[in-house]
Amino acid sequence: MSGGPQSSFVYVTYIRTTAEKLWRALIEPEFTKQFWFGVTQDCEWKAGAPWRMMIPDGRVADAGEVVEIERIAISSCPGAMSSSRNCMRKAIRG
Amino acid sequence: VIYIASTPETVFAALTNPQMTEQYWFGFRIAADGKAGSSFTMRPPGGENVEKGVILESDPPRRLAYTWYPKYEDDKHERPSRVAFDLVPLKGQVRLTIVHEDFDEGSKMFEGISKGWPAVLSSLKSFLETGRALESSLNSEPVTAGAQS
Repeated sequence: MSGGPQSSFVYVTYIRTTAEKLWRALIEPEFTKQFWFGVTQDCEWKAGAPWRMMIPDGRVADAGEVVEIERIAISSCPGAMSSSRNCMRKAIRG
Repeated sequence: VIYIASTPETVFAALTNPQMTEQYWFGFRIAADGKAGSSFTMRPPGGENVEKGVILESDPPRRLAYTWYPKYEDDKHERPSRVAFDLVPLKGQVRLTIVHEDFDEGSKMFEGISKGWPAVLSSLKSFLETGRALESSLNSEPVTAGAQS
């Protein structure tokens, strides 16, 4: 992303879970709506696919396309603490 | 910024009480329960208590600010930085905002705390919400949690 430091938001968090489960939490509508305040995403989850984010009343809150998607087999993620930054990447351009 | 399903009183205690910090701050005992003007101390696991800074503001359970002395070989020439915690209760949760500022240009301490705070705060959240802190990622990342200064 370009445009100087103000255009980039980086947040790191550590979650006691597996990377596989975290990946599902970021993608599966039944999963996302439980923690993302009712939000679901409509997407085929492959590069170039359109992406839409829906709020509970059905309106589209944001839209874009999948820029990068890379599922990594994660048995190599060390330790009990997985960081999403280290173990998987998903990028959406809105 | 992190949201924790807890009360401001509990979060404030968790940030200032050495018995509590030891449980989630990867074994570090932080004592920051004094009034403004008193010092706050940190004891690493198996180490000695060191004076880590001076409490600038203490307004339980809303706000805490302290200076943060550089104590490690690679950063001890740097000037002290400043940490401020703001706790806002919202719908049975606490929004905890941390601002750590006033670093030297190219500060090593800044690099350390940039890795440390996310790990400490994630562990704090897990600890208060589930009763179980996170494990240190010491073996999987070059710098751990609050360890770097």
